[in-house]
Amino acid sequence: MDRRTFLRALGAGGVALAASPSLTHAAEPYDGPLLLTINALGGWDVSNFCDPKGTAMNQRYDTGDIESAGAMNYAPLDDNAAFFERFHEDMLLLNGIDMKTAGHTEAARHVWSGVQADNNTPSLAALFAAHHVMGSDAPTPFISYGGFSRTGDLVPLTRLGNPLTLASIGLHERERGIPNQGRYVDDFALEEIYAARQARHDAAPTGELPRFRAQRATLFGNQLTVPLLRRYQEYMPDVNNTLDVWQSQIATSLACLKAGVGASASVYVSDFDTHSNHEELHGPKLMELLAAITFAIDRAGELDLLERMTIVITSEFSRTPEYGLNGGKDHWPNNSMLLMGPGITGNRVIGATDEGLVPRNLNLETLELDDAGERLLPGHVHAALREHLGLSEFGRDTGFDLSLPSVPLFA
Amino acid sequence: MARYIDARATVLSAVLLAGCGSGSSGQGDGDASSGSAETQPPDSRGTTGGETDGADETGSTTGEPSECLTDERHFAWEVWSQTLQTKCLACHSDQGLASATRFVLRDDNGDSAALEANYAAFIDLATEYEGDDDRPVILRKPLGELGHGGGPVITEDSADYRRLDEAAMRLDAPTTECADDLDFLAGVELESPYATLRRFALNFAYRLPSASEIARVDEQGEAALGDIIEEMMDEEAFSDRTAEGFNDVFLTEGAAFNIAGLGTVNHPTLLWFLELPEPERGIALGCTSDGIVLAGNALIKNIVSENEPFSNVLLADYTMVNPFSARSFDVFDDITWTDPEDPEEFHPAQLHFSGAETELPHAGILNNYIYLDRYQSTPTNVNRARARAFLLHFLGVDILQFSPENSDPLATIAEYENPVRDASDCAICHLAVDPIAGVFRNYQSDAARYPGPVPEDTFPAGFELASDDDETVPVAERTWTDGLLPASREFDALLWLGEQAVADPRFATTMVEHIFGIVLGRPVLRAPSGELTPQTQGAFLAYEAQREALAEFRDVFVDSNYSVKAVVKAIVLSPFYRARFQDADSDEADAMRFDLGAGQLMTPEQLHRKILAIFGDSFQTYPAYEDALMEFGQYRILYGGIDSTEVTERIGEPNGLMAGIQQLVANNVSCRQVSREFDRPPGERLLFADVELSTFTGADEDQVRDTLVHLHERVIGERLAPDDPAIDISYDLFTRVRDRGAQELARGGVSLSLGRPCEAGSIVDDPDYVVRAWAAVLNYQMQSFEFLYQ
Repeated sequence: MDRRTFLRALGAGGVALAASPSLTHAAEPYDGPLLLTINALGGWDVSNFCDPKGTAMNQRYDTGDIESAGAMNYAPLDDNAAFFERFHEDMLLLNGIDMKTAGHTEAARHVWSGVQADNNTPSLAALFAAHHVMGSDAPTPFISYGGFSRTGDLVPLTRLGNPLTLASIGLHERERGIPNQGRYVDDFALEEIYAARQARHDAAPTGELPRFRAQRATLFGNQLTVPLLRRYQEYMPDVNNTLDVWQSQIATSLACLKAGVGASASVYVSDFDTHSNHEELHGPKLMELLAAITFAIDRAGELDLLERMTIVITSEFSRTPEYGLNGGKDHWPNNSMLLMGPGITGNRVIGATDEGLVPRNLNLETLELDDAGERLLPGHVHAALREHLGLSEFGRDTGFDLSLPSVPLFA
Repeated sequence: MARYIDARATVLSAVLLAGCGSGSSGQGDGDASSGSAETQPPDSRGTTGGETDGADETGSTTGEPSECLTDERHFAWEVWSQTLQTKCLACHSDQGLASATRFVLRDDNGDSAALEANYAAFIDLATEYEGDDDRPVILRKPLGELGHGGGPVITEDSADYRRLDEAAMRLDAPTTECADDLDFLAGVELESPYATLRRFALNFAYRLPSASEIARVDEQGEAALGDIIEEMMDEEAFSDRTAEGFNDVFLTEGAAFNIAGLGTVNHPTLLWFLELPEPERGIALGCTSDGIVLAGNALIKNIVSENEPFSNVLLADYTMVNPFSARSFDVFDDITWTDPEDPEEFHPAQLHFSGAETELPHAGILNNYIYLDRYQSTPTNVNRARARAFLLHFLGVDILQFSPENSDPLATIAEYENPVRDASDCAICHLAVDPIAGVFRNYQSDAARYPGPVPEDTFPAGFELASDDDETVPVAERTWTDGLLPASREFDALLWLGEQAVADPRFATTMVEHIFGIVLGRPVLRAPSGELTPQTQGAFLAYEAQREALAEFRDVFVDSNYSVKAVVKAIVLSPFYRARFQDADSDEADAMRFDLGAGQLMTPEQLHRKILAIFGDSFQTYPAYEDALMEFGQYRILYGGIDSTEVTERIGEPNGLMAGIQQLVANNVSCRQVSREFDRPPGERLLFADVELSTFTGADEDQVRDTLVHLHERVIGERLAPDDPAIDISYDLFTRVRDRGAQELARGGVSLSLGRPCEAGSIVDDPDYVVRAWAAVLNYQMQSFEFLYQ
């Protein structure tokens, strides 16, 4: 039984353990498809970004000033022009996604899992990692720095910290994780310790309740993967100490993905929830987000990951068309999403909103605007993403099927 | 007799009924070597098996769910959990939109009485027909027929409809018994009293059990265990651990607190430290802020340590202050301080508002500044975030679960002028939230005193909806009468709210669930969802057993006048904490008992304290030598901990990175502690009391084995004979590392010196590789399941 199946069994009931793996087993890095999700935490204002309206809705620009790059219109603000000019050929933009809710928790669940109900459905990144780590030794298959990170008991969640701390874990036999520092333990002693652990594991008590057997196996399985951890340091950028907090998240995540210790990572840029002083606060946040996305793409390119990596960028929802108290904007149950990666044709926009930022109906077979059609929902998008990423069957098999049909986003 | 509270009697009787009676399970027979999971090699541990009335009767492992379900179980597992609770309860509850109809359901809250009442309500409508002899009312209403106020909720081709239909048909041909019902506890074996004592001591007393405590359980068995637990709960660590556990629920340590937000109008001396020169000013500011941020946890700790009823979490007429926050609130001189410069010394105090015509009496944690600050109000949520937190924390109601899935908020906003009040999709939650939000009216968004914002043009402050016998009357036209916040309680509205909550049976249930989670290290089970499979059937049985036990624990809680200690003791002595083995070997038994027993990965805080208790020193890294597992910037978050702000859920299932931390901790602590041990006088040592390094350079096997016996007990709680197979593994490890080390030393392959990471005082060199060989043994033990899980 692999770790994924094992965790699932632990969550749902029966546990039947297969023969234990051996500590002498050489851990192999993961080298399959990758997924990076970037979350604008708090609810972004798409009308100041990728679904521009101007005049009545946006104090900082008029409708006539809206600009475009290829098929994409964007608000003529801040760093938008540079971003869209550079990336529009690579991006698929979805506008007018009906979130059905304007509450943070529910919307985050909906947009990142495709399911509005609270039924333990994992996030896309967790499902992706669970599927792809099967049979792999990746010690941190699903990395998350925050936001909606439910795993559905399919895969362990890993939180990462600062690079120095991570180094000390990877090179755990050395003080501070620095190669030329003093040793805590010699290599041959570690070999003997591994052998003793194996002997102890083999002599585990029989007749234990399933929870104890499951936890023992989890512990032992994770211990097998530890030697891979030190590989990530090889792929950290030299300019690490100059990175901001968002870039540091991304750099560390991408180093882990490159090192084969993980399959997916969820990072975020926070503080988009501008209920007051919206225009003053939200623009800088969007610039931070665009800088983070740009850094991620640049860094992934340097690491030669772009051919393997899908990138999904979105938020819980958008902001209200009107300004509220103290110049703020509240939650608005419409959303947009940016998608990039292998097999995704860019310079396309699917979906739209009306002048009041209300999602317009689509013919879900042609994806053309059609008043007689239906609104695009997160469930449609996730069904398509699952199909595109090869997760549909896995989702069904693990009890996390989606109730909505796929739509041809990637056709 | 309660089934789960007296675990000894219950499990023992199950064993006796099973006819095995091997006597090897150590249920208080006074034999320290028997019954311990740790003391017996697996094959020599007597089975409690035989022909139990449980697993052996279940027979096959066909992968199919049991075909026989009693009507009650069918209702509970299928109809209630899958349909009524998820589709109907939000409106058809005593606080829901359909509260005035005849179909009012109760959240089961862990007691079978609620489930029975719900089944009765179901039968009531399942046996009534209105104009259609084929379909009873229970099938027609949710389709939107018969003027159902909520419109269509399910469709005729849905699984929900099929469940309701089958339950209705079952009334014509009842199934009241099934021959193959499994017994949840039959054949389950508890860990030894010693093992329970050790785990409890490390978890709740932050220490190992003393020699006299161990002697008492060895001599008296179970009888002494409860007494010692009670004694340990009187130690400071217990209340500290309880407060730490409740912080995982309330998360008040994570408040982004800015003291200036409280304003000096209410508390003129709030910023008293501004008069100080630097650096004293900065230090005082930090200590004052800590005094306010930690006041919520300090309140929990005080309630527990002073044996106050835990209802005081909502009703206490005081808050907690440290010497610094006491100055801010001008109560410093009212308190006798042991050390007026100690920011960790907290005392109860009653705060007064300068110049205010009316006081705002304390209401436990509800109007504790840090709780108000952690769950802030905004101009748009107008205290609803606080109301949501109140419902979740104290009544166990997650209001977000009520949110309808298929609503169209954009259409609702367009259709209704006041959707929050008038649109059923919105009112379904706001009906419960807004009245409570209104009760927080006396506090502003950042916790300062009133006037604070309240929801306007919505549901007024109150707790009960006045009777209304017609569910078709629009919400906006309903009247509120007796349940309104009494005018006389305007200024102690939160205390009034607390009184209502404590009188609600859900309060006790919710508190017991929190306590259960603290003791076991994981939340209570939720009812499974999805189609019935062998696994979900097992999960339902586990859920049922746990709910039954929680109901018993709740009775203990209420009968003891809301004593946390009484509940903790009951849980710790129950199979849910102590079960370790089963005699069954079937998928059905595994599915049913997948969550039974402790076996929880320790939190970083628990691991830190365990290391401290066993080794007398913590995991510390160069150059800061801080308690690295406790530092957020180091390993606390990475090892699954929370910061109560961004990271609010602990990681219970470890990942490879956490396994790496376990290895780092083992490397570091084992290396440092062996040399520290031998640098101390023998009488002060914890691990190597009667031996010296020179003892181990030869081949004195007995001496090594005797030392290993001590280490196995101290480090991982195993009480073994010198010739135990587990000692053999450790003995081989020690000798192989020592001998290989000696060879490496001889050929210059390793350093004679221990170096900075591992040296201590006079122990600088390791000429015989004995220090490092013992470190290898400790290292190995520290990576074991027995060390890392509790």
